[in-house]
Amino acid sequence: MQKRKICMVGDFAVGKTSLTQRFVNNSFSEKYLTTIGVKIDNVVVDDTKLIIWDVAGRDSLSPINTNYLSGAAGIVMVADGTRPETVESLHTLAEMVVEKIGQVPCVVAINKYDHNAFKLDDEQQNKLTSQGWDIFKTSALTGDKVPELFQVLNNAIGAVTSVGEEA
Amino acid sequence: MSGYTAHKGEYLNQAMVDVARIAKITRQLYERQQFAYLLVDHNWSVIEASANLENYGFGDVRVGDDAREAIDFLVGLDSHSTLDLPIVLSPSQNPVHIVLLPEDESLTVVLMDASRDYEQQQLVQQKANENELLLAQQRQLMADLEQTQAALVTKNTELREASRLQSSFLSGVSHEFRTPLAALLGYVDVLGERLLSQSQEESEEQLKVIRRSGRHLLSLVENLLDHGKFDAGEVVLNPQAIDLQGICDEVHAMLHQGAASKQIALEFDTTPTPLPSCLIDDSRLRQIMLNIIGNAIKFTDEGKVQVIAQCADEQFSLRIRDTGMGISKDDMQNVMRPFWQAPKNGKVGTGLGLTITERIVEMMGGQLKIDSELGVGTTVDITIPAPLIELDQPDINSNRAEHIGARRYLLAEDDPDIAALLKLLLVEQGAEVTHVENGQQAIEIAEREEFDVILMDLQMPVLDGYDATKSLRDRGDKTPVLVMTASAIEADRTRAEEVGCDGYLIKPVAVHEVLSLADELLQNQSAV
Amino acid sequence: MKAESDQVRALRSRYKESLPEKAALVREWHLQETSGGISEAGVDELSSWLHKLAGSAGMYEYQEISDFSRSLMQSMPDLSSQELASRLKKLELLLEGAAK
Repeated sequence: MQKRKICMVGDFAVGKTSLTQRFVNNSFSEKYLTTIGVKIDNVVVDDTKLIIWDVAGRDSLSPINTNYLSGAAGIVMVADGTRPETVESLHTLAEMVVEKIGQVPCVVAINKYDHNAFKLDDEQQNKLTSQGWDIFKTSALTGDKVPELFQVLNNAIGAVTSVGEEA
Repeated sequence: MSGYTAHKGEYLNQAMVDVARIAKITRQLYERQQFAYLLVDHNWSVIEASANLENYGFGDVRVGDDAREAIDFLVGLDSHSTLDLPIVLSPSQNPVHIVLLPEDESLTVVLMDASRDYEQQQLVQQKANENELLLAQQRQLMADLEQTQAALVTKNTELREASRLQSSFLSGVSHEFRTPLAALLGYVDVLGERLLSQSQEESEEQLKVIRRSGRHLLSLVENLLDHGKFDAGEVVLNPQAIDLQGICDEVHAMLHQGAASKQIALEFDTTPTPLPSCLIDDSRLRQIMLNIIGNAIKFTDEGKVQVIAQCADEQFSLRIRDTGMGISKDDMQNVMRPFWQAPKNGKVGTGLGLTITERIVEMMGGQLKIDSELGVGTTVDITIPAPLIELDQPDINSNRAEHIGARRYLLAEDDPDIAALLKLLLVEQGAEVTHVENGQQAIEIAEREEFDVILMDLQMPVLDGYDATKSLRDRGDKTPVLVMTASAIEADRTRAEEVGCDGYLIKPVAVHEVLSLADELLQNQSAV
Repeated sequence: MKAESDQVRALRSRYKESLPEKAALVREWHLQETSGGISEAGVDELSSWLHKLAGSAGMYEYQEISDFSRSLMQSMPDLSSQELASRLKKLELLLEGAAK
């Protein structure tokens, strides 16, 4: 079976692990447990095994260790819709990703859509879509838009590799 | 050369010792199972694997296999590059530190236990992140608080502005009342003193001022009452068959003098001429026209006020164009606000005329638009639905009764003071008056005797005016009932009309009002 | 202008003579309101009395009393106890003033 490495990146506590667990195990935990290093999981989508690298979030003290991104075929960038600064962070994260591994397919999850403090104004949204990213307002709690997020990324990777060579 | 040779053995010896020491340490480490390794070629084909690899969860790695099949984390990695992955967690496995060490022909993948590092970091990082989240929450709460505070400040400013408008309205309206009142009282004094000595023209001139002042006061009071009624939802429209041309002529006649006295022209242009008859609340239409055209005259000091009235497709449209001071863009947002008046325009009023007019127009299902340019003039466009009808014009003078006083009145009034005075005043006008003190007595006597008009107080003991009137109508008694009440509430009037009253007077009533309204009712009745 | 008949004049002076009595009645209501409040039935009675006063005072050309009692009657449901008391006081003063 074909295997693809994808990475979850974003600021700390935006819900990268929750989105991954929702997608892989269809489960959700209210408890916040910060990820250290990287957590690797896998799930099969359309006869492709996605190896998901759930990379520890960036915080004010520690940057993301970009070594974990090596060889990723696609990136899920995650922000927290209740913390606007995490949406702003996506742009610098994207630069960091490109610097490390070059241009790869990328989707954006603005998470915690179920939360009543969720806010994504037009200006922010336009700035994200102008990068050519697909934006998903996700909820790991309800599962809303989570399968779509990974499906679209997988399709995008498929489209890129079918033109080039499969790893 | 010889030096090198001499020391060669020594260097080799030393190297051997080093290698042996490293090998020993490595073996010790390996024996203690603190790391595992995997040797692959650059195509990921397994060359060798340490036996303890299964302790790290990769038991089924065999020589010759593609390592990426068995070990997920190798997928995507480059077999020619050094890579250090300090903490990697796979499902149901302990945290490992992975290092990729490429050589010419092969790649060594070293896996080391990272449990201790993981636990330490987890503790510290968890605490740090939770703290930061708390701080963020706190910041958010502060921002919310500030926002709420700002909203309160805005609200407070609005309230203060509303209160200021009310106060300035009060002082404005007091001023507005004082001027005509002073004129009125002054001329009344003059008239009183000189009634005998001055010429008739002089007296007439003074009477005119008195009348004008009185009318102005009346319109002010009516505006105020209307505003209150709108707020209380008590305004009802009363569309009737009216002659639009007649209304326009009337309004022209009423305002023409005021315009002339300011030496500005007031032009009326009607299409078609004469305008047709249609179904509209005439008093409200008159009010709209007087307000808007009156304003145009008020704010125009030279030039003209032009009124273009058109009736087409069951729509009555009015365009009132003036060459007055105009309204600035900023003020335009405020003109419809109740009690608002342009600062320093030198004109006084209640600041209600336009508000009320707009509300009436809306109530009629019409629209009011204002277009203005400061210093150039203002154009107001009003359109009102106007269903056309055929209006018969009976000659209302032909049937006028000759002895309007010689009627038989039934007066139902429980207040002895009012009853006595009203009865006396009516009798002095030649009427016959029978007085009863409540609705029940009124019904009883109306069964026995015939009256031309029943004057009915609304609030009475035993049986009130509403029930008495209803009872009379239920019995088939069609005698016109003229209601008199001290209540100026529209709802009372509506209720009175619903039970079958024909006319409505608000106390205090003047005897001539009673007589003329009674006369009108009887005219209508005989016309049916 | 038409001269007033003797009878009308007699009615007017009779009405004027009744004003101190009316003022006393208002005083009584004022007292009730300031010492515990007028009862519910009392409020209805007062409202109906004000209604009559609005009518009759107007008929006898005490316009201010008429207007004041009419507006008091209409605004009564919205008034605080303090406001009602102060308006009753004002009405009492108006009646006393007119009686002079």
